[in-house]
Amino acid sequence: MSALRERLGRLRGEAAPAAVAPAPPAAEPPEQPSLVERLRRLGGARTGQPPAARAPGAPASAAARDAPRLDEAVLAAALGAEQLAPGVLCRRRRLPLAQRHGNAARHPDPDAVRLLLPDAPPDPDGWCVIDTETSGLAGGTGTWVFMVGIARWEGAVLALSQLLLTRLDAEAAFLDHLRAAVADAELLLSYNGKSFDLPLLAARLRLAARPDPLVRLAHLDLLHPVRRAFATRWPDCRLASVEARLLGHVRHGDLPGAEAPAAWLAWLRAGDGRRLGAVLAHNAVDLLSVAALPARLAAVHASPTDFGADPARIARWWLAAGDAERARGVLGAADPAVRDTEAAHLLAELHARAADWPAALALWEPLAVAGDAAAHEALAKHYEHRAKDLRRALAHARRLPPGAAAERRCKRLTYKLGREMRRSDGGH
Amino acid sequence: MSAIAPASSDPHCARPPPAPALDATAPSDDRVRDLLAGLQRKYAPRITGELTLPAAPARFAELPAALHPRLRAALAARGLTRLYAHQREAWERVQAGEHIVVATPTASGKTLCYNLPVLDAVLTRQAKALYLFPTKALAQDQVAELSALNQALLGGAARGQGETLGIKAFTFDGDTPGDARKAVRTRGDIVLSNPDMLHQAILPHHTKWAQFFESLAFVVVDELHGYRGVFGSHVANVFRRLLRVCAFYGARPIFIFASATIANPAELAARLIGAPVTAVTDSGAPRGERHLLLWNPPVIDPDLGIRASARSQTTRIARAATKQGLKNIVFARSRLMVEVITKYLKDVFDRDPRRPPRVLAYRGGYLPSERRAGEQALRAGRVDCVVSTSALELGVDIGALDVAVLNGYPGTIAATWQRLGRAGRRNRPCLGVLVATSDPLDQYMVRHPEFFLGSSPEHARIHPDQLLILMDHVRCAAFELPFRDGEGFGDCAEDVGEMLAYLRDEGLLQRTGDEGRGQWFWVADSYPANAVSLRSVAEGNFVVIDTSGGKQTIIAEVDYSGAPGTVYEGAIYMVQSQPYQVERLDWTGRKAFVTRTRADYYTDAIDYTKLKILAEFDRATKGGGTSEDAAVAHGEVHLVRRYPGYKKIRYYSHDNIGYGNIELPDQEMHTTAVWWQLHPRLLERAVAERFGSRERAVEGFLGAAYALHHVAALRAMAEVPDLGRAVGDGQGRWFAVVGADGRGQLRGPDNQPVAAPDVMGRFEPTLFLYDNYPGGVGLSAPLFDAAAVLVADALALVAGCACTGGCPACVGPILPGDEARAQTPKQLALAVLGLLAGQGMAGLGVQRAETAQRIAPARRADA
Repeated sequence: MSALRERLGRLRGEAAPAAVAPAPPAAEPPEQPSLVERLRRLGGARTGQPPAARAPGAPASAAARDAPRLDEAVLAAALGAEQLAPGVLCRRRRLPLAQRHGNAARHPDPDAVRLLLPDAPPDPDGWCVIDTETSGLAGGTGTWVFMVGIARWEGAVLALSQLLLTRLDAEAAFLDHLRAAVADAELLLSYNGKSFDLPLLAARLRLAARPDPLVRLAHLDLLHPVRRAFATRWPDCRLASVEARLLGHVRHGDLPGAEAPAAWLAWLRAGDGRRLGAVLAHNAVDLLSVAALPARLAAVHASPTDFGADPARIARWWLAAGDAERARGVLGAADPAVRDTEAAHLLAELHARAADWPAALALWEPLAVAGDAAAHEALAKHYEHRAKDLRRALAHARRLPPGAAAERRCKRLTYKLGREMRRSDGGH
Repeated sequence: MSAIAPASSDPHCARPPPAPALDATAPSDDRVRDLLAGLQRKYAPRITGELTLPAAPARFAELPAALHPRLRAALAARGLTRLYAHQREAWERVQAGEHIVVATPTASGKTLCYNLPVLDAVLTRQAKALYLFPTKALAQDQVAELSALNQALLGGAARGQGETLGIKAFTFDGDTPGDARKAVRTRGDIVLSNPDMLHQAILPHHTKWAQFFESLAFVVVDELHGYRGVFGSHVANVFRRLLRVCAFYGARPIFIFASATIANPAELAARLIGAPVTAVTDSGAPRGERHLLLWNPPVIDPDLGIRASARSQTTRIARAATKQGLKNIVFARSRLMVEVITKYLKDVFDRDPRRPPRVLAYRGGYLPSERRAGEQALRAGRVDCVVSTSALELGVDIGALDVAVLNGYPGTIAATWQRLGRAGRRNRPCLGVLVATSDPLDQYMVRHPEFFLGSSPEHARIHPDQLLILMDHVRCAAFELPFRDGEGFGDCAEDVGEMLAYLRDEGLLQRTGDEGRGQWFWVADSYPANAVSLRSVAEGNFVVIDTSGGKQTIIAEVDYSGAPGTVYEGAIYMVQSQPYQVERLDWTGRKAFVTRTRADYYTDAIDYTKLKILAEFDRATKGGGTSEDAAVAHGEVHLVRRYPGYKKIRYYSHDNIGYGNIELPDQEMHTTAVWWQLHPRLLERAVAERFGSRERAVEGFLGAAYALHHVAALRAMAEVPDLGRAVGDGQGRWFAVVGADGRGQLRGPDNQPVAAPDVMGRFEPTLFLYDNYPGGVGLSAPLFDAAAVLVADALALVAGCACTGGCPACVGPILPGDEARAQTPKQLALAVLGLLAGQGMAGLGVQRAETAQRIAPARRADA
C-alpha cells in the first residue's frame, strides 16, 4: 500500500512518506505541522484537558515531562515506611488488641466469622483483612491498585502492612510483595472486596504475568451481611456509615476515598507526596473497621432489633441456614409495635409451618384489618381449607385485589357455600 | 430445532431452502420464465436494461481427510458428505495458515467455510474462536446454526454414540446477563459478538478474558462488506488493539472473513488487519439461471420530468409474481414504505382474515419475537411475499425465493446484488427487478444500465489512519496495555511516539524508564472506550426527543456534523415519513426537542459553505496545457458553513411558502476535497460566447456540482451526505448559491450579495466536492483518481435525463417556468460539464447531440 502511504503523506503536506519506525519522542523538532497543531485544526481531540501550557517556542524536553525523579527515601521517611524495593514502600504497624476501635473490640472472633461464613477456617492466624486504594473507579485494565493494606492477627496485636506503589514500572515487585504477604493466608476479610478489590488485583496480577494467590482463598465479604441487615434501614451501606452507626467510630480529618487517586497522581506527576500519609491513614481505618466488624455483625444477626436491623431479612437468612428456631426468635423478639408487615408475615408463616394456628391468626388478623391483601389471602385459605369456615373464607376472598385468581376463589367459595346451604336445607 | 435437515435440502449451506410451494400448478422454472416474458411483453418501454446470468452446475470436492472424525460424522448426519470447491479451498488456505476472505454469492455456503476449520480446531486442539457480526440478531442466528450442528449426532442416524460434539458457542452482547458473562469468558469455545462489544467491553477488560485470548486461534468476521467508511476505519483500529492484546497472550489468530460481492474483498480485509489476506471467490455452489430487469416508471409529466411512483410499479410486479405462485421479496428503503407496500399487497391477497396471511412485513422496530415468527414462516414457505427493509439484506435465514423486487436503488451495486441474491434457488431460475425512484442516483442507474450491469461492485474503502479515529484508538490501546518505546500500532503510518507524547501532555499517560526502553502507562481515572463510538468521527451526536403528549421519547440520533442543517429550531424533521417540528435546540446539551406535526411542508436549510484551499496535494489537467485547460486537483481545505435560515417548501407543488431564521454558530471544519477549475481565459471566452454572463456560468457550475455530487457518491460507495459540494473561488472571497429566484448569485464572505463583475481579481469559479467528516475519511483521493470518469458520468446523467430544463434527478430542483428560459439550468450545467471534461470551446456547440448519442442506451426509457 505504498500509494496509500503516499496519499497520507500528501494529506499531511509531508515531502516524503512518513517513516514507519516511530522516532523517539521529540528527538528533533518536526518540520511539518505538529501533531498538536493538526489535532487542533481538526477540532481537537476527544478528551481531557487542553495540552499543558508551556512557553511558546520552548520545546520541552521529553525527560522533563516524563515521570519526575522522585526521592522515595524522603517519602518513606515522611510516611514512616520502609522501602522494600525500588518503587515499593511498606508501612508496618502493630496495634495492641486491648485497644478498642470505636466501641468495638479488635479481638478475632472465630465464632462470629464461622457464623457469617460456615466453612471459614477457624484459626485467626490464617485470617487476612484486605483493602485496596486505586487510581479510580472506572475499572478495566487502566485502573491501578496503588495501595494494598493487609491486617493480620498475631498474638496480642493486629499487624498492619500497607504496601504502596510509588513507581509505575515497579508494579511487578509490588505485587510480588503482596503475594508474599498473603502466601500463608487462608481467609480474606474485606468490605466489597469480592466485586471490587479482588477483580482489580486479579487484572493487575494478570498484566504482570503473576499467579493470583487470592482467588482460591475463602472470602468473607462483610458488605453482604451489612446489606442484608441494613439495606432497608440505612440510606447507604458505605463503610464510613457502618463505622458511625455500628462501631461507634467517627473518622476525623479523613481523606475522602474519592481523593485518594489525586493524592497518588500528585506524587507520580510532581513528586508531591504530602497527601499520601492521609491515604495510608484512611486505608488503616478501613482495615480496623473490617477487622472489628464480624463480632458486631454476629451480634446484629443474633438480635437484629437491638441494632435497628431488618428482622425479616435476618430471619430469612437464619431460615436459609436451617435454623427456624432462631428465625422465629429473631422475629418474635421484635416489638410488635415496630415490626413491619414483612416481618409479621414471615413470623406468621413460621407459626403456620409449625401448625401453631392461633399464633399465626393472631398475626394475620390485625394485618387483614389494616387491609393487607396477603393477610386476606392467607386467612381465606386458612378458613376454606383448614377451619372449613366458608363464610369467613368468602369474606376474606372478597377483599382480595381483583384478578382471575381472586375471582376463581370467590366463585368456588360461593358454589361450595351454596352446596352446603342446599345440603343443610335438604337435611330439614 | 430439528437437528436433521430435510432430505431435499442442500447441506452445504447453512440454510435449507423452503419446501416448494404446494399450490404450484406448473414447475416454478416455467412460472419464473412466464412472469419474465409477461413483463417484457407488456412493459417493454419501462425496461431499460436486462441481464441474464446462465445457470452454473455445482463443483464439488471431497471432505478433507484430516477432518476430525466426529465432525465428519456430524456433517454426515446432516446429509453432507462432500464440499463445494470453494469450501475446500477455504479449508486448505486456512490449514496453510493464511488469513482468508470468502466472497462468494449469497447462499453459496460461506458459513461452512469458516465453521469447518473452526469446529475442527475446537475438537482437535481445544482452540477458541471469536465470531464478529455487525448485529446481535445475526450472532444469535449463528448460535442456533452451530447448536444444530453440535447436536446433529443426537439424531441417532449416524454411527455416533448419541453425543453432542460438545462445542460451546455463546453470544456475548449487551443483552448477556452479568452472571452469565463469566461462563462465556471462561467456558466458551466460540464467542459470538460484535465489534462494538469487542471495543467497549472485551478489550478494556482483556485480563478477564485471559484464558480465551491464550487459546484464540480464529477471528471470524462475517458481513465484511459492511466494514467500510467511518465504521470500517474504526474497526481496523479495534483489530490493531485486538492483535496487540493477542500478542500479549501469545496468540496469533487466523482471520476468516466472509463478504458479499465487493470489488476488493482481499484489499479491504488486508487493510482491516494490516496483513495479507487471500481471497476465495470462485464459488463451487450451483446457481440457477438469474434474470435481472432495470425498470423505470413511465413519465407522466415530461416538462417537469415527473414519473409514476416507484411504489406503484413495485406493487404491480410483486402482485404479478404472487399471482403466479412465485415466492417473492420486496425491498423498500424506509420502514414507512414497507408498511405502505405491505398494505397494498395485503389488500389484494389477505382480504380473508380466516386464511393465514400470504404477505408479511419485516423491518427493524418490530419485537424480536415477531421477527423470529416471520422468519420461521418464511423458512417454512408459508408466506408468498415478504416486504422488508435492508433488515433482510444481511444473512438472516429466510430460505430462498423466486423473485426479488427492489423499490429504489439501494445506493451501492454491492448492496443491490446482495438484495437481489435473496431470490434464487439452486438449479431454478430466478428474477430480480430494480425499480428506480426519481432520485438522481436511481435515474442515473436505470438509464445507464451499462454502469450497473457492466461494472463490478464498488470498492469498499477505509482510512484507519484518519487522525481523530487513530488518536481515539491509540488512547484505548494505551489503557489496555502500556506502550513501550518504539512500539508501533499495527501498520499505522503515524508516529506513535508523538501521539503518546500528546496523550502524556493531556495527563492521560506517564512515561517511565530510560530513553528507548521506557514504557507509557495509563494513569487517568477514565475508561476511554466509552467515549468512542465506532459509528462516527466527531463526538457529540444529537438526540432527537419527541415531547408530544408530555412524554419524552428519543426517536432519532443526528450526527454532530449533520445537526445544524437538520434540527434547527423550526425545522421539520422526518422519521419514517412522520413529520416532527423542532421546537427547541439545546446546542450544548446536544438535544433537539420536537413534537409531532401535520405540516404540509418540509424545510430546507439554506447553508453557505465557504471553502479555502489550504494545501494542494495533486493536480491534473485536461486539454494538454493550453488555454483550453480544465484542471482537477485535490488537497486540504478549510470550510466554514453558516446556516442563516431555512425555506418552507410545500409538498408536491414544491412552492416556497416562507422563510425562517436559524441562529447557530458557524461550523468550521478541516477536511479534504477534490475540486475542478477552468482556465480563466477559457472561462472568459465561454462567458462571452456561450453563457452571456458570469451569473449564468455560476448557475452552470451549481448544476454541474449537483450532478457530480450524486455520481461521486455512487463511485465512492458512500452515502450522498458523506460528501458535500460547494462552488466558490477557493480563497473564501466569494461563493455561489441558488437564490430564491432560482438564479445563481454570488455572495461575499459575510453572505452579502456581490456582483460578479465586482469580484476582485480573476473570476475563477471552483467546484468542490469535499469529504464531509472532520479530517476527511479518505473519500476525496479516490474521487481525484476517478475525476475524468465522474465528469463523464455527470454529463451522461444530465444529458440523458428525460426532463426538459432540469429536475431533481439531474441538476437539482428548478422553479416553475425555468424550463422555458432561453438557457435552461440543464443546458448551463451541460455546458460547464463539457468544459470540465476538457472538450474546450469546441465541445460547447455540439455538446448535447454528441453526448446524447454517446451515452444513449439501446432501449431508451419511454422514448
